[in-house]
Formats: sequence, C-alpha cells, structure tokens
Amino acid sequence: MIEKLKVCMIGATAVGKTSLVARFVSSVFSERYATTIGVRIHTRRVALGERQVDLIIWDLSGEDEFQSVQPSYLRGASGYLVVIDGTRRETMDAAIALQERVRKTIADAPFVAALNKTDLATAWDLADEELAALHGRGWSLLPTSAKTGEGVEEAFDRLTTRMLARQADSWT
Amino acid sequence: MGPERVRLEQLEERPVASPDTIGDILPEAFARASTTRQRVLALAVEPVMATAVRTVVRKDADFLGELLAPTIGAAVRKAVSEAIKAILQRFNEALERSLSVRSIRWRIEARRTGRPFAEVVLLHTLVYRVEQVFLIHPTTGLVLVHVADESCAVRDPDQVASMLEAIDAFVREAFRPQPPGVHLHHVEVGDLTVWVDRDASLAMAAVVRGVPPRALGEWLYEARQRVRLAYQPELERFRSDVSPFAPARSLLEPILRSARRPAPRRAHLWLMLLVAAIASLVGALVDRAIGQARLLDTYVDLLQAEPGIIVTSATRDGGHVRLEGLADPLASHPSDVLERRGLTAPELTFEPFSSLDPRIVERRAQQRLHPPAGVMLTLGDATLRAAGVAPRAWITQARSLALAVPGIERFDDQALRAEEADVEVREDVEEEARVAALRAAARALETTTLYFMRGSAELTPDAALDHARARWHALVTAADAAGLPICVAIVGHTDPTGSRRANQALSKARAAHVARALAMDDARVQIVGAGALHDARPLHRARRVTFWVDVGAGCPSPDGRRDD
Ligand SMILES: Nc1nc2c(ncn2[C@@H]2O[C@H](COP(=O)(O)OP(=O)(O)OP(=O)(O)O)[C@@H](O)[C@H]2O)c(=O)[nH]1
Ligand SMILES: [Mg+2]
Repeated sequence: MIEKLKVCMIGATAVGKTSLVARFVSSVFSERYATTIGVRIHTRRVALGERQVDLIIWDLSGEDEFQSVQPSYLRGASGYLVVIDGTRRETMDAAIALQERVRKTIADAPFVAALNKTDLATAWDLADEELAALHGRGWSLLPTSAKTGEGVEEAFDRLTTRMLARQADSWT
Repeated sequence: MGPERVRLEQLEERPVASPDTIGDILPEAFARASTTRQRVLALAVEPVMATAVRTVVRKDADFLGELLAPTIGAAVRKAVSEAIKAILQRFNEALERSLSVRSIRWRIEARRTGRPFAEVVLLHTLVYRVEQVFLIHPTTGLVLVHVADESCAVRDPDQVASMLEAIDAFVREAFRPQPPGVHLHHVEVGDLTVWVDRDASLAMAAVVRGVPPRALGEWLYEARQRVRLAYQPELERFRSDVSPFAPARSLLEPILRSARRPAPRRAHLWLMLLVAAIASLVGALVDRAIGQARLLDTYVDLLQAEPGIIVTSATRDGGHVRLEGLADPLASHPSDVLERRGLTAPELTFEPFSSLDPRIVERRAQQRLHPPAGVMLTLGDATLRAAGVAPRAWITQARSLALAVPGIERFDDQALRAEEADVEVREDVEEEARVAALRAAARALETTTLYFMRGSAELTPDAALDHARARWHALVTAADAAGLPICVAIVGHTDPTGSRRANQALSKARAAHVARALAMDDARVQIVGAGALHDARPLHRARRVTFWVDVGAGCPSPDGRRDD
C-alpha cells in the first residue's frame, strides 16, 4: 500500500521554508537566498511504522507586501508546516495571521509550527512568554534549523503522524 | 360406457397435434424454453440446424458465400494491407539508415549528442509519441496512476502532476478565464505538449512529443470515463491510499501510442512495385473467393480507398457494371487501380477534380515545386514541411509557390538548408575526423608522466622525455590540421617532504624544465607549479610532471595565468 499526502509550507518571506524542504528532501543547505515565486514542489517518501507515505510538499512563496498566499494552492492539502523565523519577531505575528486564513480553506488539516534558525541563538528574538501563548492556542511548536538539520526530520514526522491520525479519526 | 366412447371417438376425429395447433404454439414454446431451458433447447435444436446448414451449402454454395463474404473479405483485406504496411515501413527504415544524406547528418548528430543512432532516427521521423499518461486526483493533485513509454526519461510523476495543478490554479486565479469552470487545457514547450482532460472528480494528462494527434483528446476523455465508471466508489473514498487504482494502468496504457512520418520517396518506387505485385496476387485470390456477388462492392471499396478518387454512383444492370465519380488528375487512374488488383475494369466515367486528400496534396506539391534530390517534402495538418538541402533560389521560389498549391495553408522550411550548407555537411565529417585525431593526440600526451630526482628539477635517467616530445609534436600537428587552438598545462609536483614554499617553487621549476627540454612553444603552454602531492604511492611517484591539454581554447593571457 502506497499512500500520498499533500503538504504545504507556509510562513512569511525568508523564514526558511525552502531551506527546510531542501534539508528534508535532499539534505542540503545554502546561505544563498532566492525567494520562491509561486510554488515549487518536492517529494519524499517517509516510513512511519508499517506505513510508507509519499509526501508531496508544496513550497509556497512567503507572504510579504507584494504577494499573498494563494488559497487555491492550499486546496487538498492534508496538513501544513507553519514556519517562523526565530530571529524576527514579526514573522510570528505573520504566522498567526496566516494560520487564521489557511484554516478557512482547509479547516481541519493538522499543522506543526517550526521555530526556524535556532542555530542563530545570539540573534534570537522570541520571548518565552510569547511561545507559551502560542502553546496556549494549541500550536505544536518545534525548534528547527535548516542549517544544522536540527528538528527538521522530527517536524515532518510529527506532521505526518498527525495527518495519518486525522485520517484514522475520520474513518470511524 | 356410452359417454366415454363418444369422447374417444371425438378425439380420434380431431387430433390434438394438428400442424395448425402446433404452428400456433411453437413460437411461444420456443420463447419460453429459451428463457427457462435455454441449454436444453440449444442442444435439441443443434442437430437440426447443422443439417439445415449442410443442405443449404450443398444446394447453393453461392448463397453462403454471399452471406459470409462481407466479413471475411474485409478482414482478409485489412490484414493483408496491415502486413504490407509493416513490411514497407521496415524496408524503408533499412534503406533510410544506409543511404540518405539525412542519415549521415543523423549519424553525426548521434555522435555529437552521444545518443544511440537508432534513437536519433526515431526522434527525427517521429510525428508524435505519447510518452506519459497521468491519472490525477484533482483537488489534491496526487497521482493515482502513471504510465510511461519505457524509452523516455521520467521525472518524479507526483512532482509533475502537482506542478500542473499549481499552474492550473495559478492561471485561473491570475487571469480569471471565462466561463469560471474552465481549466488549463494544454501546455506547449518546444516539441512537447502536455494535454489535460478533466472534470471535478478526475483529471487525465498526457505528455506528447511531436504533433499531438487530433484524437488525443478523445482517447483521454474515453479513458477517463472508463476509469470513473470502474472506480467511482474508490474515488469518492480516496484520501491518501492510491493502491486501489493500480489496475487502472491497463486503461491508460493503450494511450501510449506513437506515429512516424511516412517513408521517403526513393524507397517508395521499387517497393511500390513489390507491394503492387503482392497486392494484385492477394487481390486476385481474395476477389475469386468473394465471388461475383461482391464484385461491385469490391470495385467501390478499392476505388474509395485510393487517394484522390471519389465514387459517386455504382450500378449493376445484369452483368454490366458502371461506376461514376471524380478523380484528381494526380490520382492513379481508376482503371489502373482495379487492374492492379487483377480486376478487369467495368465502364468508368470519372470527372477531374481537385482533391484535398493529404496524399494527393503532397503529390501536387511535389509536382509544382519540383524539389531537388536532397529535399524531402512531407505534409501534415495542411502544413507542407520541407527538409534537406536545396539551392537558395529554389528555396525562395518554393516559399511563394507552396502556398499557391490547393490544400496547403502553411509552408515550414525550418529543416531546410541552403546549398552551401551541404558542403558543410561533408566538411563536418572530415572536420569531425580531424577533431577526433586531435583529441586522441591530446589524450596521448595527458597519459605521459615524467619523473624527477629527489629535491631537484633534474629528470630521472630513465625519464620518457623522447616519448613526451614525440607526443607533443603529434599534438601540435593535429591541432594545426584541425585549426583549433590548444593549451597545454605543464603541471609540476613534489613529494610532501619539505616546506610548502619550497615545494611550490620546486614544482614550478620542474614544469619549466620540461617546457625547455621539449622546446615547447610559449603561446600554447602554461607552466603550473602545483606544489606537493600527498596521495602518491610510492612516494617518489609524486616527484613528477604531467600534462593537461585543453582543446578548443588557447592559453589565458599571462596576467590571467593559472600558475599561481
Ligand atoms: N542560519 C540559518 N539560516 C537559514 C535557515 N533557514 C534558512 N536560512 C536562510 O534564510 C534565507 C531564506 O531562506 P529560504 O529558505 O529561501 O526562505 P523562504 O521562506 O523559502 O523564503 P520565500 O521563498 O521568499 O518565502 C536564506 O538565506 C537561507 O540560507 C536556518 O535554519 N539557519
Ligand atoms: Mg522559498
């Protein structure tokens, strides 16, 4: 049995969506920043216990004053990863606003929030109280670094587990 | 006893099973038996039927022939013509490969691109090839089934399908096409077309190389409907598991078709003779078998199948057959068509007309344009394509003449080259040989290594200096013959002992020494001191000079040298 799941990457610009996908799919990282225009698609097979799942990852362009996330790209997604740049507070506010909007398109799809760029500890810009508030909203937070690879596999694993669990729910 | 007797007598007078009464109930009895006791009825009737058929055959064989001929005749004819087509195609390919100017060019292309020759031929003669077919779940963009022609390189199908869905979503949102329900229908990139057929529950996409056939849309539509019918429940239930759709492969695979361009003229001539001979032989056999009753239809079929001939009426008046219609002056003469098949022509009245049958249009183009020997004309979709090499004057003339030919709307001469180019082809071959010789000479020098005494720029007594000199001279000669610049980097190395600085200087001194010893020409040489070599075993092998040869580029100017 081969399963396929569509997953979207969302978040403000330059938070590291593309970098996280590149790390997860091909184990590479680059300091160079090339903003994503529209969407790029990558795939990776993951094994969760007995189950083999092909993740079809839609790496969307980040939101800024020039472009906003196109709702039609989200259609049919089984889950999504919200990415926050830990060195820029404003990307957390952007993430909260975005998630509100995404929820309107894919109401009950599970998501995981990645607090990215943990390797830049000295520039860290998020206070613990703020993170606690996110927890309070029911967000599942995970520190990640596309550069070192920390937390990346785990973020996708956690998301996949939730997506599969959600499917099991809706069967019964 | 009295009344009983009377009844018995009455029964004797009027038998129950009179033909009339049976005739009344027989149809109903058959109908009932065929629903309730079908097998038994069939068994019961079989011997009677068999006898009846045998009797008919014995009495009037022609009648049976007339019954069966339409199906048998058509089947035999079709099978024969398919077989002949296949033979023709194979012969043509064989000839094509060994003879034509084009084939030389393709050989060169094959060598340049590193593709097998057969593949190059295939790509050039391809009209279209459906290389991949996707069955896509529309909202998620997930691939349910993917099939591909094994000869083509395939990229991750999920990525491709998702990207297609993304493009569809993008263009629909960016341009808001009308009516709102429409979707991306096809995408063209170079000689590739991606064709999409979809509704809300299922999408099909085909990747086609070449000119997509008109029927492609129908094939996709039909396959999609079949999949939908067969997998409706699975489609409704679908979330992530694609395995239930695996058997739908068999519905997609028939779409992986391809078509090739018709074979070139030259091959046609004598092969047509062969084919005509086979055809007339087979034709005669078939016709005899069909018998007189089908003759009229045979005439009509044969003539209709001939390009540029239209039969408008066929009448038989006793033994006298009369056919009327239209024939293009470039079509075969109707009586020839029939005689070729061993039939004597009946009365024929055919008026001239201008046929738009592509094969006739092609002949017309041949006649009006008089292409020189190196040019091949092909027609498709009302576009006349010219390929090959021709005098410039002919090309200019052809451009205006072609569009005046009835049935031709466009003239495509992208694959046509002016005469000078022909010379180029021949030169290409020679030049190719010279370049190959140069590469070989370069490789020979690159495999030469000169070793040095420990800590000095002096060669070992047994160093292959003469060898290196001979190869250097051979390389220079080859480069001059090919007219190509070269740059030989003379790369010196040392063993890892000693300081970095000293090794750097020593390695460079070794390289310079070799340049002097071989009296190498400055402009084509670059001295490189590469310092210590760490991985040489045994150690003394690190004390050496090797050569790197760049073909096609001269040495960088002294200020931009690589020998730092
Ligand atoms: N140090 C560090 N840099 C990162 C990390 N992740 C991403 N970057 C850098 O951040 C920049 C932006 O990364 P991208 O992955 O392109 O960001 P994005 O979210 O895809 O951006 P858009 O496509 O424009 O929305 C790049 O220069 C990356 O090298 C990380 O974990 N650590
Ligand atoms: Mg990006």
